[in-house]
Amino acid sequence: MNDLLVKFLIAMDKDEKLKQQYISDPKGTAKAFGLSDADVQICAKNDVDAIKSRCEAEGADTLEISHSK
Amino acid sequence: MNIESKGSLVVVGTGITVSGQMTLITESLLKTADIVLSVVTESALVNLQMINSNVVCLRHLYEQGKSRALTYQKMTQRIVDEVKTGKKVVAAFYGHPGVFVNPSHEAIKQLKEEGYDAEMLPGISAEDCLVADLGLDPAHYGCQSYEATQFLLRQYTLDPHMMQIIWQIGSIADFTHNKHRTSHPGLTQLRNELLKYFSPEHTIIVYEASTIPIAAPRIEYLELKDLAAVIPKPITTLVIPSKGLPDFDMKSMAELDLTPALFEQKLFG
Repeated sequence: MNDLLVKFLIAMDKDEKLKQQYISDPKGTAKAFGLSDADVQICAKNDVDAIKSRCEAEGADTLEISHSK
Repeated sequence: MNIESKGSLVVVGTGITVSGQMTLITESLLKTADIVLSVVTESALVNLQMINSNVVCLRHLYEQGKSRALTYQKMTQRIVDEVKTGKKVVAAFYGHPGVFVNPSHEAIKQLKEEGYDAEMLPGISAEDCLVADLGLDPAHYGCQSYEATQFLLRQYTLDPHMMQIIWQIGSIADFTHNKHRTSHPGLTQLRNELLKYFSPEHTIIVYEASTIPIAAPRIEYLELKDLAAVIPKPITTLVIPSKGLPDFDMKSMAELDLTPALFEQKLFG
């Protein structure tokens, strides 16, 4: 996967300053990171569901689900 | 076998969020591994690939409708086989690698039995996120923690004075990795079981940890009687706060030369 939006999220998750910049200016921060116009719009609208979907953040749903013996 | 060429295994966790909950030692081990075998989300996989160029995702071993036990065996086997080729292997799992993860424990066990170096490092689990997000200290009232299906199918003794954490309420009696589940009849059964210990109006919390840095966790407070109406995901957790501390055990108090008043005085000064 070479999705810059995902890499943006990865970067924000490790960098509180970048995250705070995003919270105060999602559009400008996304643009400065080099995201495409479409992805900048997703950020500008704060479309969390779309972002989660792109990150497969909810993919955790499909991971290990263990029932003890 | 020459000790220099002997393979080894370190099992690590990537945390619940896309990248930020990985520990420093885990990142260091990932950088120097010969191969990284991963069972993580797509975004966490991208993060792993940014750290090490030789990452192999094992999630393809999951198959809809297939027994998880078989999937776990295949994952374990792949990890063990890579170590036996003499590689320095890091196996990376979502969250904490030892919580709700079978192949991590099994691979370490098998490799140790055969004389290989194998260890697990802790990661940030959903329970760690839960404590932080809900502000509930599991040590305050004590805590009981169960996987939802196990809780229902086994004759556990629940202590309502302790906080209850019931994991995976969206996967009750689901043994086949069904991610398209739409009905959750197990919630009614779970509610009925909990009503044996708590009032219908007792507050419960539906919880899902946040997985990306800009989204809040799911935290819904409701009454126990409304549990069956919850729409859960497989990762959804149910938290039932304590009814309060139990009465003192006067026999134990006496044996320790304490009284309730003295105990309170010693505890709070």
